[in-house]
Amino acid sequence: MSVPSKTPPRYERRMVWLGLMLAIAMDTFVQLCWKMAVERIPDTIGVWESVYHILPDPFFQIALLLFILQFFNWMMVLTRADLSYVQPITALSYLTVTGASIMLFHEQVSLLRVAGLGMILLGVWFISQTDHRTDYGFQAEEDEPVRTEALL
Amino acid sequence: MSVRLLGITCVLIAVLFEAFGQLALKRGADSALTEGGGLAQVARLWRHRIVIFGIACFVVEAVLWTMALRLLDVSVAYPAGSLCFVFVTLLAQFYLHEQVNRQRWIGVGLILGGVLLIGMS
Repeated sequence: MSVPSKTPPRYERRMVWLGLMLAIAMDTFVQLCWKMAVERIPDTIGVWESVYHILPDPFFQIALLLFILQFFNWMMVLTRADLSYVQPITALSYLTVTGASIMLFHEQVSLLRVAGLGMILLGVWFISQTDHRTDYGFQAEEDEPVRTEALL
Repeated sequence: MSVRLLGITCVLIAVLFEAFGQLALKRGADSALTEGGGLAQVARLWRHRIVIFGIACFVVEAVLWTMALRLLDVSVAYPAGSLCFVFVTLLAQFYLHEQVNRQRWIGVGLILGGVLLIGMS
């Protein structure tokens, strides 16, 4: 458990949202790169041949790199906020992926889809209005003693 | 077992792996990193068994999800997959004891409804 921070809550919240934006942006790029890479594989070949095809694909390699960066960013986000706060907010990637698909692949978007995206946005807004972190009070510091010498 | 039922079973198991993976990473983040992290700490993350467990969960999830997408239409797979928001929130509430108030649940419900509409479109 981490030591309660002395930084102002507003700064903390901003850092959480910065991490979330990064996570959503990277998630969007991963999904798009993945799509590009997978679409270049011929339909007729088997699983192992697909692997052989996809490994040298630059889009696949970018996706993999972003995936690793995403992991570290996500770990940072998790140190600062509740899982039940940050995880549902990543549903915003439905919006960004749809937006990118319209721009890049000229996909058509139905009214029903727009309504669905609107509902997701509203849901995320509801969650964003709650406290980003549960206050566990004083019970949290079992495994990490407070370093008093750092305060002197 | 019909193809559809098999597909939905795959999605549900995948969703469970996702939820437990997230739970493990949250646990790992709380025990291995102090607030805000720091590169030296992050580089040592692989030494923590709970983090490795979390990553393993995601690998299993990816395999199951790929299988599910071969068996199911996206219009079924996506809404079923959005159940992971419910599982994660439940685990966070009852296992991590996070304060999940009514407002957060309304948010999760709206996201679920939104994904359902996208699946129908």
